[in-house]
Amino acid sequence: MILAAALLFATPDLPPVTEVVDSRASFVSVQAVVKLPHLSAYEREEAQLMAETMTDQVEGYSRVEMRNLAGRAGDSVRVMLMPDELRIQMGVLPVDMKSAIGYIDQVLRNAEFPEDSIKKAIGEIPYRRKSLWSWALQPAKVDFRGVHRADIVDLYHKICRPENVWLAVGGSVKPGEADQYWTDKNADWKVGRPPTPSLDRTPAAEITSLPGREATVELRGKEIVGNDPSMPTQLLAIIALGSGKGSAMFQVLREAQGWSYRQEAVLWPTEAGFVPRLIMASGDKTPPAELAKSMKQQLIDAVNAWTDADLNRARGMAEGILTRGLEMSPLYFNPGWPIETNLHDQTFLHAYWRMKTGLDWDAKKLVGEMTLIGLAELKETALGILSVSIPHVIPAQG
Amino acid sequence: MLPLIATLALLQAQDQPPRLRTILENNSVILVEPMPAEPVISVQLFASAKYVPETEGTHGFRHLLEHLIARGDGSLDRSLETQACFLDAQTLRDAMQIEVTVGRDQLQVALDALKNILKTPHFTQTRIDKEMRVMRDELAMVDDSLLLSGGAWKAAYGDAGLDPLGTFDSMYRATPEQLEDVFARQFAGDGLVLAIAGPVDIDKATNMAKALLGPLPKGHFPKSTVERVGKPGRADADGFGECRGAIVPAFDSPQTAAALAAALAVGSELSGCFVTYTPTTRPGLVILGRTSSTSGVGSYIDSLESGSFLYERGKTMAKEWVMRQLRSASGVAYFRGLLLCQGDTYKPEDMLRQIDAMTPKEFEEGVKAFKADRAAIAVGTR
Repeated sequence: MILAAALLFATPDLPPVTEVVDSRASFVSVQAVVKLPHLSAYEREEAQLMAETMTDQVEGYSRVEMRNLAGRAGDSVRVMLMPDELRIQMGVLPVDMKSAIGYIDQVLRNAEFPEDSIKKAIGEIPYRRKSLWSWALQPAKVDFRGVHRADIVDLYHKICRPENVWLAVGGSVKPGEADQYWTDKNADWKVGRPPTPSLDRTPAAEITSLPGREATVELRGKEIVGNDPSMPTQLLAIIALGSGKGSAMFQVLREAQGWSYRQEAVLWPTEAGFVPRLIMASGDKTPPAELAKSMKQQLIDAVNAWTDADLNRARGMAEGILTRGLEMSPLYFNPGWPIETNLHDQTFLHAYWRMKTGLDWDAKKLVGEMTLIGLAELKETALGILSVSIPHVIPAQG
Repeated sequence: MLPLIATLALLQAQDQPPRLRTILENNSVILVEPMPAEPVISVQLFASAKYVPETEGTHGFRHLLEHLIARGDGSLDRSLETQACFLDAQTLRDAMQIEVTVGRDQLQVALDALKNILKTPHFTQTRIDKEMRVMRDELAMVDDSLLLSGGAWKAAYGDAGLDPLGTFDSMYRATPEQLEDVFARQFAGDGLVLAIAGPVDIDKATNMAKALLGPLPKGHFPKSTVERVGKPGRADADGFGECRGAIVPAFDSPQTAAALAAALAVGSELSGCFVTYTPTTRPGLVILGRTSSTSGVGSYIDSLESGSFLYERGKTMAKEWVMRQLRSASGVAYFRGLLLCQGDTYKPEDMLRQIDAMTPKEFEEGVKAFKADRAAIAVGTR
C-alpha cells in the first residue's frame, strides 16, 4: 500500500516535501527533483558536466562514505538529467534517511566541482556508448570544447535554488520527519534575486547518422503543457498508438509491414510540458524520409479504422501500465527506459508530477478518467497528434 | 462477530506455508508463493533447454520459436491487454521463460493464455520468413552489454557458451519441421516449471496449475551432454566497450557469491558499469563491464591491489541483489522458477546462505577472478 502526501508546512522558499509511504519497502528512496529553467544549448552541455561531477566532492561528506551508505541498502547514488529536471537519487536504510537528506542537501548547496573531475568527465562522456533508443530519444551532440569550470559553477547556482528543489522520500518513513529535517536544515536557504534566464533559443545540434544498420524514424507531435486538461485523453491516445502488442504502431509497423522490431509512442518531457513522439527503429531499405511519410499515412488509416475493441484495449493497457506496473509506459523520466513501479520511480513520480503540473499523481483517478473517454474523442486526439506531426529521421551509417 | 472473523482469517493465513512446491507425475514442477500485498499475480512458465542445447547449426532456433509461439496470431495479446494483462517471453541459456502478468482475480486468464501457448504449433515457411524480417532488426539493435557478454561467454566456454539470441545466418535455415521438433523438446513435460507468485490461495492455485501441466507427456529425448568447462581467454565482440567475466561454478557456490559481490562493489566505484549474472546450476559467468570506448574496467581491476575496502559494501549489495528479486511477484516467480527448472531442489536461499557466509578472503578471491589472467575478457571492436 503506497500513500503519498505533500506536507504543507514547508517554508515559503522551499516547495513542499513529498512523502511516499510504503511500509513494505526495505529501503528509503531519497530524491531531489530540481526544476530546470530554460537552458541554451551551451548551458545544456554545461548541465551534463554539472550532473556528472556534482557528487564527486561535497563539503562535509566523503564520496566513499556516501557510496558505502547507499551500498548498505544495496543501492547507489545517481544523478540523471532530463530536458525539464535534474534528479539526484539515493537509496539508504531507513535509519540512514537523515544522512542521505543531509548529503543531498549539500550536493545541492555546496558541491565543489574539482577541476580534475570536470576534465575526466569531458574526456569520458563523448566516448560513452548510448543505445540506439537513447539516441532516438536524445539525439543532441555533445561538444565540450570551450566549457569552463567557472561556467558550470555559475549554472549550478542558477539551477540549484530553493524554489526549484522538490525533495521526495519514499519507503517506510515516519510522516513529517523528512520534512521537519529538510526545513530545519534549509531555514537559511533563501530565494534571493532571480537569475536571468538565457535568451538563446538556438536548438542543440543533433547527430546526423547512427552507427550500424538501423535508422530511427519519428513522427514528432505538438507540445502540450504539463497541466493540460486533456492529459488523460492524450495519454490514452498515445497508449492506443504505441503501447503494447495490440497498439497501432505494433500492428502496422511491425506485424503488417515488417519494418521494425521496436516501435513506441512516448510523451517526452520538455521544458514547458510534454511532446508526443512516435518512434520506430528500422533497418528497412526504404529511405527513412519515405518511410516516415508512409508511417504517418498508415497510422492515420489505422486510427480511422479503430473500433470499440481498440478503445477497450487501450483502457486495459492504461490500467495495466498505471496501476499494475506493466513496464510499457509512454512516460520516460530517464534517458533510456520508461518509468517503472519500483520505489525510486514512484517516489520520483509523485514529486515530479507536483512540480510539473501542480497536481497530485493519482494513477487510479487517471484510469477512472480514461473510462469516460469515448471512441470518437480517442480517434480525434490520435488523429490530432498524427496530423500535425513532423517527421524526424536519423539515417543509419550502414 | 467481526473480531472473530478477523482472528480466523489470521489463523488461516498463518497456517499457510510461505510457498508450496509440487512435483507432478510427469516430473513437471509447480511452485506457488502467496504474496497477498502484491498488486498483480505473476505466472511464469519455464521450459528447460536440457533437450535443446544451442549448437552452431541450430543457434537461435529457440529464440525464433519463442517469437512465433508468443505472438501466435495476435489475438491472445489483444485479449490480454484488454483485460489489463500482459504476456512477455524471453529465451535464456538454460530455459525459455514465458510470463503472464494478471490482476488479483485473473489467475485463470493467465493459465488459459499459457494453455494456448502449450498447444503443439504448426508453422509455415511464410510465417517464419516474416518473423525473421523483424528479428533481423532485433539482432541489429542488441545492446552493447549483451554483445560484450556474448563475447565473454564464447571466450570462456566456446560453443557450450553460445548466446541464446542466435544469428541471422543460422536462424534463416530453420524449417517448420525443425521448429516443431524444437518445440516438442523445449516443452516436454519433465522440463516444465510453472511458478506463480502474488495474491493467490496456495492450494487453489496449485490445483489450477496441475490442471494445466498434469496432462502433458514426459519427454523421451536424450539429455544434452554438452559440458560447460570454463577457461580464461579473450574475445573480440561486435560491440562497444569492454567486459570481464569471472568464471564461476553453480549459483550456490562460495565462488559465485564472492564474484557477484566483487562485481557489484567494483561496479559501484565506476560510473556506468553493468553487472550481469543469470542464476544457473551449471558453470557460468559473473560479468562486469562498461560500454564506453574508454571503459577502464579492466585496468581498474588489474591495478586493484586489494579489494578489502569493498568487502562490506559488496556483501550487502550481493544480498540486496537477491533480496530485491524476492520482494516482487515477478521477481519471485522468475528466480524460483528459473532455478527449479534446472533441478527441483534449488532455491535462492542457497545463494543467500553463501553470501552471508562469505569471508573477506573469499571476497578477495572474488575480486581476483576478474583479473586479466583468470577472467574471460571481451573487448568491443567498434
